[in-house]
Amino acid sequence: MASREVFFQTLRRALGKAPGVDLTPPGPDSVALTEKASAIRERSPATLASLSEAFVARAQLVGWHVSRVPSKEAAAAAVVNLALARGMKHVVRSAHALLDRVPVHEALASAGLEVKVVAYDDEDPQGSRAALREVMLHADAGLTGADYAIAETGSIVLLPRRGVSRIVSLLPPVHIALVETSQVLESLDDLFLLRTEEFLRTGSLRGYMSIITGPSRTADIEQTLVVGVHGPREVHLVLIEEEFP
Amino acid sequence: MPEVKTAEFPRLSRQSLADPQVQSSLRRLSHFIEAREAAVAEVGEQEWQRLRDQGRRIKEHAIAHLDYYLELAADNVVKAGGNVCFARDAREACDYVLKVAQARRARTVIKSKSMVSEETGINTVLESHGIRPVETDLGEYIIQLAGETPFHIVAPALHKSKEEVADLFVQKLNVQRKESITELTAIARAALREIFVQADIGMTGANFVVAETGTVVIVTNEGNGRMSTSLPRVHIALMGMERVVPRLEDMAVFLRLLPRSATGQRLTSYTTFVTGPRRDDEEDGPDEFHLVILDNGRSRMLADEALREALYCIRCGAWVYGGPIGAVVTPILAGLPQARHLPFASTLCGACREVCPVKINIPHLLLTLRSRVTQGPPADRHASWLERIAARAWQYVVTTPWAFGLAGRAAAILQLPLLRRGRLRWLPQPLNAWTRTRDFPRVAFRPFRARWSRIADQHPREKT
Amino acid sequence: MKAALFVTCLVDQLFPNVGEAAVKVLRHLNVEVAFPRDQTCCGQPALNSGLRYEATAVARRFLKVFEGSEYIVCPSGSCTSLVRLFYADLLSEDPHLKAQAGLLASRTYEFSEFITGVLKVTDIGARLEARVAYHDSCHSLRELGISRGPRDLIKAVQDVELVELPHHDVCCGFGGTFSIRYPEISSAILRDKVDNILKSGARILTATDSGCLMHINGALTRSGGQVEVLHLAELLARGLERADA
Repeated sequence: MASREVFFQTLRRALGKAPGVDLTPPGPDSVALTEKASAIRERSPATLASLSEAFVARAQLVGWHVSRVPSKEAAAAAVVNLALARGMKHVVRSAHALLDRVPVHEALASAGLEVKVVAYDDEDPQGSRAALREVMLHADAGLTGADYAIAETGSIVLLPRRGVSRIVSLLPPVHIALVETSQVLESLDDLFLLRTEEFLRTGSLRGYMSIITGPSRTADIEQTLVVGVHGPREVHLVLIEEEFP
Repeated sequence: MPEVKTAEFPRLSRQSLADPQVQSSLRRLSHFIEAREAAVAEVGEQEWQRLRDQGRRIKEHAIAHLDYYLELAADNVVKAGGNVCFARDAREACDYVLKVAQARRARTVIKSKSMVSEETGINTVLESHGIRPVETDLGEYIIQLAGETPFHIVAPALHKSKEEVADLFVQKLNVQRKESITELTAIARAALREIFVQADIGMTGANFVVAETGTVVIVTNEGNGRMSTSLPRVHIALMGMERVVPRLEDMAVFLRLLPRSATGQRLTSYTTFVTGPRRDDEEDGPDEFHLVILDNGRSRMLADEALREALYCIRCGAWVYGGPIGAVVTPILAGLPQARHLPFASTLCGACREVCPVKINIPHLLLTLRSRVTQGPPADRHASWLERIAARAWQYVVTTPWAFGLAGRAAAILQLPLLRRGRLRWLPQPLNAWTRTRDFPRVAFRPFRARWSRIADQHPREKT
Repeated sequence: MKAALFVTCLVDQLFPNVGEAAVKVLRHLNVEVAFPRDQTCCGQPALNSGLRYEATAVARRFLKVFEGSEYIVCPSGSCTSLVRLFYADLLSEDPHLKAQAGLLASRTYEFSEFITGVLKVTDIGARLEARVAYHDSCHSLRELGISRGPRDLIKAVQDVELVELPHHDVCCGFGGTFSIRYPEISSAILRDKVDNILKSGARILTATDSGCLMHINGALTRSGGQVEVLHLAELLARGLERADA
C-alpha cells in the first residue's frame, strides 16, 4: 500500500516542487461572505416574486409539474387532488418543518390515504431504517419540502438531516415537493455562497446535498429519452406564494 | 479492460462503422449536438466564453497546486469522518477496494458510472474474489448483461437496438419480452431496484472533489448516483487525482459548463454532494465513506509540460471516452505502446477545441502524442524499423530539391498503367485504403516547378 | 509589392494549375511574384505522423529557402498554419532559429488572407456565372481564423451566387495520413460532406486547401454528381479570364 508520503513525493516531483506547502491561498473573505449571505436572506418581497416567476418558468422547462397556490391550505388541497387523481394509496413524507406548517398530512389522511413520516426510532435505528425503506419502496409518492429552490436552473435543493431522508424523493415513482417563495435563490452562485457561509460558520458541512432538476431520465437505449429510470418519473412542485404581512 | 479496447481500436472502429445500428445511432446523436448548441446559445456567446475562461483558470490553478489541494481535500474528508486511500496505480486502488469489500463480507457492489473504475479494472478483481459488481447506469447495465466491453465512442450501449436489448432481457432476466423503450427501462428499473436494496457497497466516480470542504460531487441523470450513495452501508468513491477543485463556489462555474457541454442540459437531473459518511442525525446513508485518489500515470502527464493541459479535462459526457480527449488521456494512462493508435484517430480538425469547456488545445496535444509514439522516450516509442527508414527517406527527398523533383517524375511515370480517365481508381497497398472509397488525382506530368520557367518572366499587368 | 509563392508539395506535384492560378491573380493585383526554386514541402506530413525530427529538419530548410522574402504567400491554410503556429516550437532548441521562425510566421500568409488582409482587396474585378459553395477547411478556419475573407472574395465576383453548405465548418474527414490509417471513419465523414454538397445545388465547390479538395473530389467523381472542384485561386483566375473576355 502506497503511503501518503510516497504518493506526494511523486506528485511534487512531477510538479517540480520542493516538499512542503508553498501555497496559502487567500481564504474567502468571511466578512464579505456574511454580508452577502444576509443580503440573500433579506431580499424584498418584490425580488422574491420576480425570482419565483423565473423559477416557475425554468422548472416547467426541465420537467416539473408546477402548481402555484396562495396559501398553505391551498397547498394541502393541491396535494390531495393530485394524490386522488392518480389513485394513490400510500404516501411517505419527510419531516420538513414546512410540512408541519402545511396541513397536508391531515388532509391526505382524511382523504383516505395512508401517510408515513420518515423519522427513525432512536431505540432501534437499524430496525426502523429497514422498515422505512420498505415503506418507501412501496409508496405511491414521496412528499418533501425543500431547503432551497434555484431560479437559474429550475432545481430544488435538499439537505438531509433528522426527519429529512435522502431517498423519499428518490424511491417512489412520484415526487411531490412543497416550496415557499422565500426559499427561491437566484443562482447556483447564491446556493454555494450560502453553503460556504454555513461551512465557515459551523466548521463543517452536512453529509449530503441533492440538487434535483426534474425527473430521473435516460437516453441509453437508442438515444431515446425515457423518464423514471432509477428515480421518479413524475415530479411535482407546489409553490406556496403567500402574501407577506 | 481498457488495454484490450484501445489496442483493438482500429479493428473495432471498422466493425462498428459497418454496423447499420451504430450508423443510425450516430445520426441520432446530432440531437445532442443541437441541444448543446442551443444550451450554449441561451447563455450567450460572450458569457459562455467568460465561463470557459473562468473554468480554465480554476483548473490551471488547481493543477499547478495539486499537492496542496489534494492534501486539503483528504484532510477534510477525514475530518468529515471518511477514509482516504492514495493509490499510485490501478493495482493499489483495487487492493484497497477489495480489502474494504472483504472486511465487510460484501457480496454485491453496485456501481454508478465511473471512468476511473473502468481504468482500474476493478470489476475483474472483484469478480475473481466472488464479489459481484453490478453496473447501474442503464447503458452500462445492458453491456454488462451482454458480457461485452463498453465501446464508448458515444454511449456504452450505442450499438444495441431496442430489439437486441429486449432479447437480452428475456434471456438474462427471465422476463416477458417487451419491445418499447419505456417498458424496457421499467424492466431494468425493477431488476436493479432489487439489487440496490440488498447491495453491501455503493461505488461511484467523482466528477469533482471540492478541496475546501472535502466534498465529492456526482452528476447523473438517472438517479443511480443517488441510489449508490444512499442505500448501501458503505460508499466508495474513486477519483482521478486531477478532479480536485479548490472551493465550493467553483462548482457554480463547472456545473454551468459540464451539463451544457455534455448533453445540452442546463443542469443534469441530479447533482449530488457527498461529504463523508452519514451524520449521526441523518435518517439514511452509508455508515462508511472511502475516497480513493488515483495517480496511475497522471503524475507523468503532470511532469510533461506539453501534456499537462490534458489534466484540465472535466470529461463532459459519456462520449469523451473514444472521442478526442479520450485519445489524449487514454494513451498516457494505459501507456503509449498499448494505445498507440488513438492519437492518430483524429483529423485534427480542431472542432473539439472549439467545444471544449475548458479550452484544451486537443489537436496540438494529439500532435505531441503522435511524436511521442514515433520518437519519444523509449518506453513510449512504437515504430518499426521500416517506418523509421521510410521517415528518413522522406526527409532526404523533401530536403533535396533534385530528389524531390525526381521522385515526382518517377511517380508520374509509375502511375501510367493505373490511370483511368485522368484519375487513379485503384492503388496498391497501403494506398488502396484511399482508393477503396475515393479516386486519387493523377500526378502532374509537368509539375509547377517545371512550369515556372515559362511563366517566370511575365510581369504584373500595368495599371491603367 | 513583392511576394514569394510557396506552392506546397501537393500543388506542385498534383495541382500545378492552382499555382498558376495563384500567380495570375496575384499579378493581376500588381504583386511581383517570385518562386524560390529550392522549395519543396513545409513538413506537415511528417509532423502529422509524429515525425518531429524530420519535420524540424524540413522547417530548418524552409527558413533558409524563404530567408529573403518579404512576404510568403501559400495557397493552403494548413501549410500556412504549420509555418505560422508550429515552426517556432519545432525550432525552439536554437534561440536564433526560433526567433527567425517567429519573423517568418509574421511574413507568411494564406492566399486569401494575403489578398484581403495585406493587399486589402475584396473585389478583384472578376466575373463568373455560377453557383458556388465554399467549404471551410479546418486549419484555415480554426487555426488561422479565416472565414469571412474567402467568402467576401467570392461574393465580390460578379454574377457568382455563393451558397452556404449545411455544416460548412465540419471536417471533410481528410486529416492527412488519417485518411489512410482510418479509411472507414474518414470515408464516413466524407460521405456526409459530399451529400451536403450535392444537395446544395452548387455547381462549383471551392476551398482554400488542395488537400481537402482532393479528398472531397475523390468521392465526388464517384458520386456521378456534376460538381466541379476548384481551389479559390482557380475560381478567381477563371473569373478574371471571363471578365477579360
